[in-house]
Amino acid sequence: MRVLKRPLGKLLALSCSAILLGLSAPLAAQTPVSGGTLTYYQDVEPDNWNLTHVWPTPLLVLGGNVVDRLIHLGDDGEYYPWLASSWEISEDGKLYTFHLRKDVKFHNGEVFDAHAVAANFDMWKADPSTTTLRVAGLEGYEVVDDYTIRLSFTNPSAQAMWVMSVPAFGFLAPDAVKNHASDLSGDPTKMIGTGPFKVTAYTRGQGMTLERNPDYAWAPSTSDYQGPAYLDAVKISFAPDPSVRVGVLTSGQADLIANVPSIFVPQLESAANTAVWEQKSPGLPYHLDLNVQKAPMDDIRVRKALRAALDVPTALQAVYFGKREQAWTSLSPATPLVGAYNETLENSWAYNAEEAAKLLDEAGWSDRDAEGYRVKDGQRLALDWTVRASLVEDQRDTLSEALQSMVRDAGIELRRTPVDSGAYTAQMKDGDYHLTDRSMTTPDVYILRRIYASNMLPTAGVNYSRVGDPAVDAIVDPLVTSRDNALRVANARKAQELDFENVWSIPLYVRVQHFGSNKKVQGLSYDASGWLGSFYTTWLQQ
Amino acid sequence: MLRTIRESFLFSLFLKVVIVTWAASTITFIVMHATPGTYADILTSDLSQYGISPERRQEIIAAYGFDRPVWQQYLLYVGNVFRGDLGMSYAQSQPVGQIIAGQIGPTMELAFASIGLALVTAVAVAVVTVRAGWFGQGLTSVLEVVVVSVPSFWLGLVLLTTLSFGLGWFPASGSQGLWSLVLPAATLAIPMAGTFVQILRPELQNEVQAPYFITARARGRRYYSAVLRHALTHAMLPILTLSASYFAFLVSGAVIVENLFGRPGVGRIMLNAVVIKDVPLVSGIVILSAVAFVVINQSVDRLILWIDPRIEKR
Amino acid sequence: MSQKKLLLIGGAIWALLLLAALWPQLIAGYDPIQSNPLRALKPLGTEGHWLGTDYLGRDVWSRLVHGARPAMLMGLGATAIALVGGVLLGLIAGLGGKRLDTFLNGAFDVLFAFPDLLLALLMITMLGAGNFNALLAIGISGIPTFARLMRGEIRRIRNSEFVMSSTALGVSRRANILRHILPNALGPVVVLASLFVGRAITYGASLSFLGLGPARPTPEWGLMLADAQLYLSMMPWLAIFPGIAITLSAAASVILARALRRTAE
Repeated sequence: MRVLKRPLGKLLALSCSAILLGLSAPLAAQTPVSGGTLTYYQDVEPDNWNLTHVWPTPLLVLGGNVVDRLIHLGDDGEYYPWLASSWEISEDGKLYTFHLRKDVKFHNGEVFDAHAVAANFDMWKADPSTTTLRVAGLEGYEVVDDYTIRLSFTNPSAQAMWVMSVPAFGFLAPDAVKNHASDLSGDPTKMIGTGPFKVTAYTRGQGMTLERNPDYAWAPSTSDYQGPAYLDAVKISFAPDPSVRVGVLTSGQADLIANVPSIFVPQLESAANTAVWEQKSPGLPYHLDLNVQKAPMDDIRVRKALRAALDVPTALQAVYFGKREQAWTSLSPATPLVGAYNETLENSWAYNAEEAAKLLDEAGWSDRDAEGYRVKDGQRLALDWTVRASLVEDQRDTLSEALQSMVRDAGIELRRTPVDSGAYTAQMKDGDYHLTDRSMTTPDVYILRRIYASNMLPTAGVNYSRVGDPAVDAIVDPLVTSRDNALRVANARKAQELDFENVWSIPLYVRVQHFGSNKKVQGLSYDASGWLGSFYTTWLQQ
Repeated sequence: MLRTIRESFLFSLFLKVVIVTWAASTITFIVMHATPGTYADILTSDLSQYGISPERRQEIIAAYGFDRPVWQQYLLYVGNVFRGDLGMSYAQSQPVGQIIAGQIGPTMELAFASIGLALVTAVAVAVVTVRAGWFGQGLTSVLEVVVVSVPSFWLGLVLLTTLSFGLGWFPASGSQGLWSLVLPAATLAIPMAGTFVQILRPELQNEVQAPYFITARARGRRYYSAVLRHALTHAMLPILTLSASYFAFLVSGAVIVENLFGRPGVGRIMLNAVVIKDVPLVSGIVILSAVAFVVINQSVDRLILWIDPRIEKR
Repeated sequence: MSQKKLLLIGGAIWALLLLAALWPQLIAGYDPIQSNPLRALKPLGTEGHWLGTDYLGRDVWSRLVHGARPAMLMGLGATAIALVGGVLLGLIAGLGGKRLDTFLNGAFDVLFAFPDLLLALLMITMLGAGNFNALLAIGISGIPTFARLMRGEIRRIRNSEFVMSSTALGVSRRANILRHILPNALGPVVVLASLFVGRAITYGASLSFLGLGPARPTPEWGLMLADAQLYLSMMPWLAIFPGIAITLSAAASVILARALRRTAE
């Protein structure tokens, strides 16, 4: 057995706050103070509070305050000790042995040990809705001693480590597991974890209250601050309407709001008492997936023409007022693994109406119909763009209108149809679309395998551009199976290049999250997955 | 004996509730199963972002019973509905009954507040304008047309812009306190008040010309007190008979207003459930509102008969 | 204001709506879909764009005018479905045997018990969002209302004295239906239909406001309102005009219905 022991606190300097981009000026010069209640307005309220079921981002964000995980994903893409002080991974990559900290207690005073971890696994196994186990491929566990637990996985996977670092892999007190397993979905106050905050009150539709866990002394080893959270409490409300959230911030009813639409960003930036926090998301930028198996998209000239017909910078300026950075490759520059983002592709393509026209003429789409659209053999050049309605966010419907208008100038009809999730899944399965769109927040390059590998076609995976090529598989498979980061970086760069050359996708913009706050709020921190990790390091100027 | 039972109010109500429950659950079952993609599909597609094997997909489908023959799923579902078990919400993993029970409060609050507001406004307007001259009546008749034509979601937007964002009088969202109820209730109350006035005014006009009213006035009763004491009671009956259509209006309105103002409630979870295709939750809401409609309708018919026995049962 | 004036206003709105729906280019100067980011978010009163432009630089007035066609299609199409379906079912129930009538009437009662927006939402869940599906959903959810009214009218007329007496005089059943029952029963139904046009327009706009109607970039009033929501605090006019357009067309339909009722009486 090869031992991969993590050096404890070696990279202590790389604290969470290193990656935050606050606009409130003298951040470093101030010393955090304890006390105060933060009033926070979030846009989405999770339907289901059970952390192990489906994983909507808002739930993971709030859950991160309440539960801790075995390991912590650092900003550099490496994993660091948290509730597990060290671990070993077997040669075949299937067995993980975790040595747990011995000083950790749940909110209700129960001791955190290998038996508590085992109780959580048993609960997950018994619950058909639990996705955590299925995603991680966790097969079984063995309690070695009171503070050692060994987990076995079906396959070696880079993803297993990530799953173990997200709030879905957070542990609840044995009492909550035993007596309240069925209440967890609807009642987050039953979510009794080991985290820096505990949920003390919740009313669906209105909000929840988090209170500081005064005993907290087991922050991840990378955190330069240890001890209980600064804030006494966090009062969370839910307001789906963006103008409402901005309204409560500017009128002083809120300290912090999630998801500020770009139109309000300049206003909040320039106001004397508010600030905007910006964080780019790792993973897949917002992009269009082009289905290379469906005519006429199977013709690379049509795909290239579509890309050349889009004036992305102008569209972004109009819709987001310059608050979105254009994406150039199929990977976000904010993805942690250093060097994985292929910056050589930047500015490698641009809006070019003549080139688009030339390509389409070459491809045989040279005639025009009465409405000005290009035709070939009596068929109009019409492309079906299928959209999953429930995932439309961030004014992407407005952006799509600008894009539709642009390709119309090139003689292409873009028919965008939002459908419900069931219909979307069915259409993806049948390949009955020309293009679709998405972004995906993931802290690692293995996501590229999921969108290009031939065994990842829907519904097994999310290879929506329907690339099915053994040569591509050979490049993207190591992104998941290999533990050699140099190889993974090289292959990730290669995959982005292939995407560019073959126009499997058209990158649009790098997803970014804007939080608005008043000037009292300091120390907002994001985790490496690009989520607002927790309010652990947040404090209020007195 | 049997005959009296069959004709008794409670028995006919019971029968209607049973039929409506059956029909509603059947319709919702058909609709939800005719839709492409089951919830298991949606769930597994979410998971496929993280990677999922075909066996695990099958596991999930079996866990929700989607691998059984359709008729079995149907019988199971309808049987459960009659036992009061509306099933488990897919998205929230809780019993549907429990979820609706948790959300019905704010919706009822909204419904009662808007009915109350509409009645008070309508009575005030009708009583004042019934005596007003040609100009007042003309103006109100135009207003009536406009008010019943205004779409409630737009009215809500306008109220939000002016009274909340513009003047800052009311909070724009949430459900904390009485103030936050004012704008959503007004949004629903204004069109309802328009309809009420349309019904009330001609009735009142008839009543104030009726002999008993003239006698009362002759005996020295003040005009407004006479109207409120006598005429109004009679004029209100047609409004009661139409209460069923207001119920439908309120349920539909709740879907729009709760989403617009970010209020908790049944309408908000309904729209969300439609979007994510949460079969049991949508069905549960539809079934319960159909049953509530029948109960309200029948009870109001009964009530009217009790208030004014002159009205023959149709 | 007198009834005459009101009717005049209603007629004028109808004329304008029909004109906009049939020949929008006549009164709208710009393409409703083509975006021009350089002209985005121009305020009211800008030369050439008197109602301003939206976030993609499209002329608001032109989009409003082009929005009349989907609204009219929704209003008339949904009404046609509800009217034809309702009248047929009502006829069958009203003229059929006692058993058939009991059965159909029970079915109407059951369908009537679903609040119509919920019924439309259910249908859209099955059919998927989209302009035609929304139209279908609204039309079908209106059928029970028409059927109930039709059946009630037929029952009333069939039992009325003059039909009874003409039957006694030996007039055939068919002649009776054609000559007396149908024309008399249709009166109130036509009034309801003209009222329903406005309701369908409003419901259609509500559905697209909730994201269940036509797809972008269709210039549609409900969609325009949904988009305007974000700009509400800065550019409220974006939300004002589509609302006025919906209100006016619904009002025109109410006025027409009143006029028809008065004529029928």
